[in-house]
Amino acid sequence: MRRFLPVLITVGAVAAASCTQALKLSKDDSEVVLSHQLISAPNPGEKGSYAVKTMYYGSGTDKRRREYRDSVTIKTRSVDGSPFVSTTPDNARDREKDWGFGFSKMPINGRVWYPVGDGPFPLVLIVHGNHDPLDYSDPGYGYLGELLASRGFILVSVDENFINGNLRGESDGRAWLLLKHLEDWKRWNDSSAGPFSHKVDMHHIGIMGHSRGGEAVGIAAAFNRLSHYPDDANIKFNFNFDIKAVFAIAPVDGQYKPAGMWTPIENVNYMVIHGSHDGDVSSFNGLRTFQRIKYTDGKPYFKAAWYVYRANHGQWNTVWGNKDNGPRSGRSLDLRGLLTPDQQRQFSKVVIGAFLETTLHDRTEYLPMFRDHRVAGAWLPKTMYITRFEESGFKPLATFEEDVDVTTGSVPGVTISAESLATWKENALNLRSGQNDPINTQVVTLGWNNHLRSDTTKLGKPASYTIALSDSLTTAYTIGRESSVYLSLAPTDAKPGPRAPARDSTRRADSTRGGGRNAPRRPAAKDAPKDTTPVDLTVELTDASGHTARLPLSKFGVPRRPLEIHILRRADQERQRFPTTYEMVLQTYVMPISDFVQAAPQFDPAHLRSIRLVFDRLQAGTVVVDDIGVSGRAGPFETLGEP
Amino acid sequence: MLLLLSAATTARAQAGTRAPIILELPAGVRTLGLGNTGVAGRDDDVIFYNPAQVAVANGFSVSGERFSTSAGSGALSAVTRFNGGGIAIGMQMLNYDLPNFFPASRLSILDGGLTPAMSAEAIIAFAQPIKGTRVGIAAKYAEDDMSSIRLGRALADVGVSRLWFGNTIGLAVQNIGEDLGRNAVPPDTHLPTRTTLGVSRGTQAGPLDLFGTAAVSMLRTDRVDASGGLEAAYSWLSGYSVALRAGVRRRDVGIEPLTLGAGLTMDRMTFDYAMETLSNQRLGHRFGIRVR
Repeated sequence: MRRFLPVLITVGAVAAASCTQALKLSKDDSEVVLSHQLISAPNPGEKGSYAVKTMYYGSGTDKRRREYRDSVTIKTRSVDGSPFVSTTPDNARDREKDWGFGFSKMPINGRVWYPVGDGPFPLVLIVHGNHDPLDYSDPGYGYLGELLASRGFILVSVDENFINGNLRGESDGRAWLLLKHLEDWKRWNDSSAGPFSHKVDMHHIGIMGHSRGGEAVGIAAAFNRLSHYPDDANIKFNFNFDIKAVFAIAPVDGQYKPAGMWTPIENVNYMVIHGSHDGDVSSFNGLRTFQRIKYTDGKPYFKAAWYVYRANHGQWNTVWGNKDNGPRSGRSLDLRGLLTPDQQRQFSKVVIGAFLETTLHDRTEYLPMFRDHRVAGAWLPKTMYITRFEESGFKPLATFEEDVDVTTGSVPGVTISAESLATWKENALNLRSGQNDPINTQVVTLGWNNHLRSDTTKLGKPASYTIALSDSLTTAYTIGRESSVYLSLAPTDAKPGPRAPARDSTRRADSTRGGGRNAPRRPAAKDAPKDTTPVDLTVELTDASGHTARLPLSKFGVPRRPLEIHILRRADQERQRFPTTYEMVLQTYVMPISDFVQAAPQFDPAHLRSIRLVFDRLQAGTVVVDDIGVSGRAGPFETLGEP
Repeated sequence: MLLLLSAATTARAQAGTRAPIILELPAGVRTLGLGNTGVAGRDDDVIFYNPAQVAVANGFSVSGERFSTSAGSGALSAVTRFNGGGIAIGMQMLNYDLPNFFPASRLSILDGGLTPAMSAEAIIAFAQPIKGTRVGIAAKYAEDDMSSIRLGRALADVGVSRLWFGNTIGLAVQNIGEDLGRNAVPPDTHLPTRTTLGVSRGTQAGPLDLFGTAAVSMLRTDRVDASGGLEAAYSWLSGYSVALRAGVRRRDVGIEPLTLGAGLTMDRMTFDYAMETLSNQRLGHRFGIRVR
């Protein structure tokens, strides 16, 4: 035995050490990217001027939760959630025994942080997601309650712990419960007496949710407009609340599909945040929700998505902590690279504060940070962010959804062409979790190498990609100096090989090779070192008279190579679970046309004819592009100068 | 042969009266470390203890034990999922030197003898959950081989098990069949038909994963045995753990109560060691590899 023990220990230690991968993080550029603070409004992550009080409302009979039994200021009646939440009879019986009530008698329990004052104050509900049912999740948003109440919001952290645990497909129940809370709030506001009589601004309501709660708020926004429950029309809805803001924290998506469809969300301000190192919802599911949101009623809204490097799933909630898959998940999750809890919550305070100030207090001075987060560098914790943004005034030119013809745009009057590209294809974008998890959006992938294969010291004409607009479309879209050009883009690590020499035009073209483009398909050698050269390109606008205005894309945001993610401690498990080491999150660049006019005063935006991406600032690379369009300006703008 | 059987008859009082001997030997390393208590286990070698648990067991394993300079055994088992339950196969073999009497006992195989002998079993088991209760049946063939004679029997095991308030409860009746031929062996030599009722439970305590098991069994109608064991495992990295085990069992001919064990799991592979205390201050050492 003595002979074998050292051998076993050595073998075990070597094997374990070889399986734990070294900490790998992308090089942080936040000191440069976040070196500016252009918004002069107060930091939305800092407390406001209101004194804050707290209270509880609930059943007053809760068997497990003392605060909802002994400390309730307002007693509430239970609601029948059984049409929305179901499980096996055995499980239902066990749960009823544990909680003291079944799905047909769900309590309306909430903990409230509210400002001292006459009001009326906007009402914001936040709901947790799935977690250990007995490790109560609702107190974990107290830090937001203190912040938001001091800034003049009523924040309610809704108790839905009783539907946590071993249930599936209950997100509609979570959503419906939120709306039932709002019904009580309306009644309290309308009543002539009580602590919230006429103190609640029921025309400015926000709902926020985390994880499954993050999906639930989207479903609640959809249910709010419906007259019937989609999965059982015998259940009638009559909510119609003025929900102005929906905020999702690391949400799941598609665990509930009304009538078998992705939940449609319309005409509401929406924001989603997600951590790159989320050990629970390990792909940015909220991007799919972001893509789906439609604006159809002509009113001003915006939607935004923030991908936060090194943030995890649980630290947005002080109860959940950093072990995203339970107390023992430190065995599997690599926690070394995570932001500190304070950093992560500082981020959520800033963006939630700014989002709610913008959407519920109409403080539009915070809007620019959603267009370009670099303008709020002093407020944001120092890490890397990738952000998406779209206003309801966005008019698409090329979203790549409409057909399989790469030369057509999303609306009549748009034609697309390319020159000297090695890669030009439209394809679906998937989440990091794999091919079976699409974001439900099409993108165009553009690859180029300006070096010539015959003489790699020489460069050919820069490759380019052009979206041409017809005169009538420019007129119809009322494009002018006040407009902005949008595009969302992400560089990849792919690098095409050098370009084939220019074709001898005196010879007949070989139609079987390359379709007439001087673009080799051969990629660079696989073992070539990773290219870390910063990616940039030129955005060139041309008017009907041929005047051009050119600016680098990096003026409007950081084109970053994919941020490297390693969530698991074991490299082999990481490879097995994820096909890539990054999530393909595109950065939205909102480019005011006035900046182009300033760069080239002769350029006439009213007669814009083309938007051209010229790949002249990096000799070889590949980018993924989506959602090219234009928008009228809404709200104030802050832009950084030349990088 | 006649001399052998004659000697066996006269020596019966000092030896066991049960055969084949292979049916009384430990068959799993982890199980042995837990007092040879396996009726509510979940490893693939549970096929040797309770066929019902084949419905939830997984993996395959090989193990071997050295009892003395002349006696050693080996076992092999494998389980795969089948039709909502499981199907498993197992083989076990003992090589030893037969002393001057038959049947051999756990004591006599330690002392050895002059005649090379072998005892072996082959088993196949099938288990299926029915309304939350796992029901299993195993068919097996066991035999004792002594130089020129071979005594074998087809046997059956049946078992049930169920999860009950987080505990696994298992009940098994093993070695059901006709006794070995009366003409060839001492007249009261019989199969070690055994009924075992056991329980196991896993829980967490701080950073440790604990597992406990206990069982009581009746050997035909003349003997009641009890055994049990505890395992504490520590994992520092997903898929990697070390475990220490200790078990006790009722003293019997050739065996002493205490067993100890240890295991090292590296992803899908586990290396196990167990030690059992034997009569006359001897120790049996068992090593095994399990793959999940």
